[in-house]
Amino acid sequence: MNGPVRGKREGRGPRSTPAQPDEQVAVRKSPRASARRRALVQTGPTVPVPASVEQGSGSAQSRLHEMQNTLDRLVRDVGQASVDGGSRQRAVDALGRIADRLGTPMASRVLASGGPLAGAMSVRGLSRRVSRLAMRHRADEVDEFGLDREYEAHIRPTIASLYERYFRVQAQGLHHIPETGSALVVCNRGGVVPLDGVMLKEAVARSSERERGLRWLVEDFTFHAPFLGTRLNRLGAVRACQENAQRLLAKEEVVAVFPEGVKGVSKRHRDRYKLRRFGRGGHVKLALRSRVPIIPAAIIGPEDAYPILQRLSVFRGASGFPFVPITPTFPLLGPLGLVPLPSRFIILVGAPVEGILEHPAEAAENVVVVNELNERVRNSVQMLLTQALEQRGHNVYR
Amino acid sequence: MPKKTQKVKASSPQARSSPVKKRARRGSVVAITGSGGFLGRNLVAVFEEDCTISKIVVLDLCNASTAGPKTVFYHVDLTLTGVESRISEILNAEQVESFVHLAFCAGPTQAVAWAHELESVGTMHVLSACRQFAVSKFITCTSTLAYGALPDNPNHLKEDRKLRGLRGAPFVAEKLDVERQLRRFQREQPNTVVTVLRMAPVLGPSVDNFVARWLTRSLVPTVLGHDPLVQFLHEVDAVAALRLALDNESSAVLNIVGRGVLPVSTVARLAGRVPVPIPFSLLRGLTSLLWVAQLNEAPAEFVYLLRYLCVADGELAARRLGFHPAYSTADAVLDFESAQRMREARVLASAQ
Repeated sequence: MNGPVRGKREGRGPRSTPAQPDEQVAVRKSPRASARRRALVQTGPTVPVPASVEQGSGSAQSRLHEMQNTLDRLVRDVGQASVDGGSRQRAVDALGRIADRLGTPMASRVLASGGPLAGAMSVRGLSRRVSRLAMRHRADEVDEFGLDREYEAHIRPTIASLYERYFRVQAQGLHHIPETGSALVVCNRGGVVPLDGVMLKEAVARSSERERGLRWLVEDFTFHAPFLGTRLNRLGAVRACQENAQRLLAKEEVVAVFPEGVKGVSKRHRDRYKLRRFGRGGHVKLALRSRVPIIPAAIIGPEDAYPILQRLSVFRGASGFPFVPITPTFPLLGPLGLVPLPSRFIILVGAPVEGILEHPAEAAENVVVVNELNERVRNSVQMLLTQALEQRGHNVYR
Repeated sequence: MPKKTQKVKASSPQARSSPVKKRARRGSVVAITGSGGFLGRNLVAVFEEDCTISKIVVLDLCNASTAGPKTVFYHVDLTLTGVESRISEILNAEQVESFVHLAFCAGPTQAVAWAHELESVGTMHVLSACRQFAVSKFITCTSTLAYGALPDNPNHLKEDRKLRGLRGAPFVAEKLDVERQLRRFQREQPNTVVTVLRMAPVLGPSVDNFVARWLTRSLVPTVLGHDPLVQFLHEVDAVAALRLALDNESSAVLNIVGRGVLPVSTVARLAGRVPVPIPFSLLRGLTSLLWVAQLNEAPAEFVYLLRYLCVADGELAARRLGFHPAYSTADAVLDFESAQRMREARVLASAQ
């Protein structure tokens, strides 16, 4: 009794519930059913209901016995070679009713075999077929953070062509990310749309033999952005907070964080690639508590894809976005202005930052230690950024 | 003489405090309120067939439909003043060991004042009766909706998270009040084992609540541009969790949820419906209008559930209670859908 519930509930089912809710539902549905009746074309004869299938008097045992006998007789009727339309129809109706009480999928096969009921179900059947069609690129299940494997596979070619042809991403140093086990990748943030996360994910998948997936943390306003937030979530992005990140690291995933956050996104074009403050060291606390290495990374390119000339904070409260970016194309060309410019991306990943795991997990409460380690991580990322900028030189868009 | 079951152990409260009970009963006595609702009547059915329970004391306006030979019915109206003395008399007369309090509305209702009287004030009466006659175990159910569907929710809400309610929806506000009362009761009555089960929305073949009604339409309304993850608890698992809670030996607040999560649009599609995305403000306004006209299944605040996450973590229940849900969220939706299909077949068959 104190063990798992599975064994106990084998022959399960709330015992007496079918009686009550069915009546409730039948009563509730009758106006719609009568409307549907009028709208439908009857293709078969109306037949009287076999009395034995109706609600009989007596105990549940005797009713069950009656139903079993009726079921045997009906199956015999249907199976007969010389069965005529009337009795077959009676059998189909009665089987449908019994199957409804037992809740078995047998009825759907019986109904699919034809008769007036099959025609009547066409409206519902149509909506079911539409639903199935709409699910063709999506999996029936998602993981606990919303990653949809089928959608990811479906959109992979688009991302791959962006990676290779549009942004011409050059990725180096990805061997620092381990093949198995968790790691925390700390990266600079830029560009209004989280292209950096998507391109980093693609780079990590290409570099590892078994196509290792990357989970990256996005800010609130991106995660809750209409349409975009959902798409990113199905690709593996997760809302940035300590609990989510800790759980992902415990599941042995590689997690990418962008500590600059909203400050990184709202940099003006002339301040591009100057690292802002790295938050309050939340990523350092995360690494200390979860005992994972911090791997610095730098991505250049997103800030040139969306050169923000100015930002407007006027619509802040209403839309939930912290600012409205003014780029050379955005408010002028409307939604077309959100298409990124084809800048060249370079992703540089460095060796794990030293000295993080020498401190015990309790050091996460120590503000001095956390700030010192935060500065160390920031310096590593800054060095990688400088290196990447030198490597790119002046070929920003070519 | 059948041997004593493991229910009354040497260390358990009832054995220590009252040796008289141990001699007189072969099983325990359970009092249950709210036996007219889905959870209540199914739980009574489960208790009827459980040999470790010798008597079921039903306190309600009318007897449970699943009542059997073990059930004793007392007419009790929790909205009347002075009902706690009546309840404590009944508890004393029947020597009740466990109290299962399920007298709650299954979903939001327009009768807000009556719901407040039943849920908040009724719980107050029940708890003061349980103070006067000290029961060993007190079990009740609230909802994971009490965590609230807010933009800063993590993906797995744990039990120690502050309950923020669903933007002031009365249905959820009552649950918050009940939780507050229960925390106080647990502090003041250390000898009573208080188990609070926070259940995810229940879905299944026979349960009829606001979720089932939302999924009954062919065109299911969702919020344009948003597709949060949702979780459901299968009705069988809900009843099983209550039965397991009766064996719980130390006070706990537990999330009872189904396995896994699904996006809202996938839920609608697995149920064979077409989701219709409507802009958020428009949907909120429409829902509010239809709710006031008593044509809708939930008030406007529930639209936030279709926009932001409200997913709870059931790991503590697995550890403390041994509750492992047999059905996942997808199973619950598919079960619901197949039952709906059978019902449609039945209605159409009877129409001919």
